[in-house]
Amino acid sequence: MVQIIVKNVAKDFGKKKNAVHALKDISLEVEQGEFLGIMGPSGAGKTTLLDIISSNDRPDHGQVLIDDIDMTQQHDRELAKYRRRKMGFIYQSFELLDSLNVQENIILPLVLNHAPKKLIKQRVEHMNDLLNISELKNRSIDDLSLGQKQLIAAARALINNPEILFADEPTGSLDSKSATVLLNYMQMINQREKTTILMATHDAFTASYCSRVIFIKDGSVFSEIVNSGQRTDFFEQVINMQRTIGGGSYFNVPENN
Amino acid sequence: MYLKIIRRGLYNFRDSYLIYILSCSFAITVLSVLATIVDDPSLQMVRNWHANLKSLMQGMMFIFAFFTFIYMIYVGGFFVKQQRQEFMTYEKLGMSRHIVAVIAFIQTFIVQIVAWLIGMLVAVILQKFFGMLLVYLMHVRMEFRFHFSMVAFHMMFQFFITSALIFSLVNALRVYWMQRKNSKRTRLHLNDFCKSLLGILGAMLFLIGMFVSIPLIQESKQTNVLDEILPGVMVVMLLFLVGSYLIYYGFLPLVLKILEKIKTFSYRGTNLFAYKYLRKRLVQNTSIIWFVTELSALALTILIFCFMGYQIVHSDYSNSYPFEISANQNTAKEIRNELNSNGSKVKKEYSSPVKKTIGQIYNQNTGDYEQRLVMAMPYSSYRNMPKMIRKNNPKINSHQFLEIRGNPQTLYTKYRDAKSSVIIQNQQTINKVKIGAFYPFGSAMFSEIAMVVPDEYFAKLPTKFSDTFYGWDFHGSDKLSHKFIKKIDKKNNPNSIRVKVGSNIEKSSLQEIPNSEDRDWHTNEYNQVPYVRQANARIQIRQLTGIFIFLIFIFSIALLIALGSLLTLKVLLKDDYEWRQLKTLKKVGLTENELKQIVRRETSFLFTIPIIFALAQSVIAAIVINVALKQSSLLSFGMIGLAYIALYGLVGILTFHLSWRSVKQRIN
Repeated sequence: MVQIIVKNVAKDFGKKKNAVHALKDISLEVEQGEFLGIMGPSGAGKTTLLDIISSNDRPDHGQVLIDDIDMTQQHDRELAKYRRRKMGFIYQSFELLDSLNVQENIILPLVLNHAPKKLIKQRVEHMNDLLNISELKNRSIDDLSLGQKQLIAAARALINNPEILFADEPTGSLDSKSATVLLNYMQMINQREKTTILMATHDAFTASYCSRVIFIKDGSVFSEIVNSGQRTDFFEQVINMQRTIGGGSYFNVPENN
Repeated sequence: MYLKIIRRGLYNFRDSYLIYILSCSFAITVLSVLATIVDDPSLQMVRNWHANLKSLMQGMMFIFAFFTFIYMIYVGGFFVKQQRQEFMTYEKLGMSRHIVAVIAFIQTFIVQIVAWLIGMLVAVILQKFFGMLLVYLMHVRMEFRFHFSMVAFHMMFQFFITSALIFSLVNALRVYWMQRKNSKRTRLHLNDFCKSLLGILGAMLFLIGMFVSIPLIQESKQTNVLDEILPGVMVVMLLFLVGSYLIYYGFLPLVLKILEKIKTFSYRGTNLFAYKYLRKRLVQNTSIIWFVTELSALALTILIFCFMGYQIVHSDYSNSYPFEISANQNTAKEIRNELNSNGSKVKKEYSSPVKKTIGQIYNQNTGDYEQRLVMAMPYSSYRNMPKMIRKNNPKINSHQFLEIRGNPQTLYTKYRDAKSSVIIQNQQTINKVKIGAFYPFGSAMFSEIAMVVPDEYFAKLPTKFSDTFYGWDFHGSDKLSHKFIKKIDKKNNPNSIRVKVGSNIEKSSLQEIPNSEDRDWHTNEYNQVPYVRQANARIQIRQLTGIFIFLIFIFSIALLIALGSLLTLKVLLKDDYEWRQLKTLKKVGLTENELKQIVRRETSFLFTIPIIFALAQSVIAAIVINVALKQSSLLSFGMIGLAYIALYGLVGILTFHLSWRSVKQRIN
């Protein structure tokens, strides 16, 4: 079942002579429970597209429909509520609040939604078990490693059981081991909880965890590839597509690799 | 390149700089206006201007200049602190410390130039308005002309150059020191437990201060001597000063921490973040909030004192001059004839016989009976006096006695029955008298003590010194010419009477003594003026009160702007960490309304605390006033307190809107 429909979305930044066309007439559809990767070189428009789909930004033209609701026609207040109820976000820079401890960071979305204490407790225990972070709950954010911080960010994104998870370069700040741990968790969540995941990345290894990857170049959808089930094959496909788009060196992948 | 950095630095903090520039400009405007008014040729024509008003204005100008200087140099440092990270980055990128200091110097100098130019320009525009306001308040009938003398301009220019250079240099040095590698300051860092203990101690000290001030208020109603309660007042002030700082330092953070721990409160909406955020902002700004609180309390106290002072001067003036003219029998005829001939419209004439005798009166200060001149008037004449005079004294009936004292401390007493009796020569002891403060024909007409006595008592009172006092009220003024006043002044010298004190009151006597200007005055010698005229004092009183109201008005507004802008800048100037936190909240999914609520809470918190504590502390002023002036200051305290809340509330609302605007700009 199609959950997200993006229709002819365009977005410019700047004015007149200095205007930059971040997105040009992009259209795409995302199935419920799909793990979609959005790839492209830096400045291609990945984050802008993610922001517009997640209703954090508004397009200049076009429509974004989620569960048949036209998000572009909703009031900011309604959108904020919708985001908090149905969406979760993981950012490259984690966006954790240093003034709160680990547990407080995780439960923040539920507390903002005025969830009952009992539910908060249940969900925290569930996330602790799912992501294996029980021993971190009373620690300060400053005391965590980068990988742990991203896990906490993921726990916060998932605490309110979102239908859609947006991840913007989630492995960008992580070493390969931490990145693998996080991606395995995301895949598990996608499969177990049937959460739709939209992930922007420029890393082929990260993208290989997706069920489908769309490639953006200069603000337009250039191509897309679907994961047949074999991750190594899919990884190769992604690398090849990167070469096609950017001439290899664009993605730090040498031509003779 | 450097200019670009400077321009960027100014642009990035444009909102905060604007507030700083506007508040500085206001201070500069006031300073320039005061400087020009002091030498204004129009005001040179005003009577008494050279005698005392000019020096008063000059003194106030220098006090104002001093505080303006302190404010500008202190608040100017906020911006340097705010750009700390930026300056450190320049140094890391290879820019020399000197260059970075020069950048700070130029940035500050530009801000100073703008502030001074705006301030002086506004002063030129508003000089006439301020001058007209002053002239109006002084009740001087003249046209105030615009004048900006070269002397004033030169002085302000010197002020401008000197202060701009000093402020810029200070900021440059701040930046230079900031960049020193080993400039880590050793600061005493206490853990949360110690801070909380100190906070609890502070709360206890403050509460003790409040409890101690209650008996002080009671005591203030009983005593006439300020010295008796002064040590208590000093202790309460100390308790408030130390207590309020420790409350800000440890107690309020502790309360917020407790709220954080109580899940019923903290697990509700934005509270989870807001309590921690407020605590951090409070800890960061403890000194500033305390400083604002104490200065506000001081300002409130000064305002209450000034307001009460004004009321007393006015009351004293009314007491001295209840009629346009009062006269004794020696001058009354002449004055009446002149009034008839010059066309003065007499509203009513009052008169009363007066007998002078000797009384033995209890002196509360020495605790002893003393023989004094007593001027008695009958109840029937007193009853015919205007209501305005009688209403200020305690009510008496035709059988009661009223003693009216010239002692200023009793002027405003809540009139009590005297504890001691009064003995009048050759008369029976009067066991019970009521004490009043308002002399029927004006305090100047009576010497020392006046007594209103029953008519029968008055009739039996033997004396060889009797007189009749007259008072006139007019529609308009009395129209007495200067020439006539000179004539009666020359003709009617004041009489003097001496009380020759005997071994007891019955053996004492009154003796008239010849008047000469160079004779020495002794105790128990009394002067009887032939007349008093309201118009003579009215001009001086109006000028003095006018100039006081003008200065208090300007000082209050300036203080309000200074303290308000200090808090506003503290709310606006958030560090990078705080901005990041707010941005993160937006990304996590906080709605604009929720973010707005956090900003609103922060602003309310930072503004409400100083208001509450300043009001609580200024109660000391009420105690001192109760004792020193013997008048209940509750009404003045209430009025000034409400005005303070209203004005600070307005500044708070403005700050909230500015703060929300800048937060919105930064997070979107």
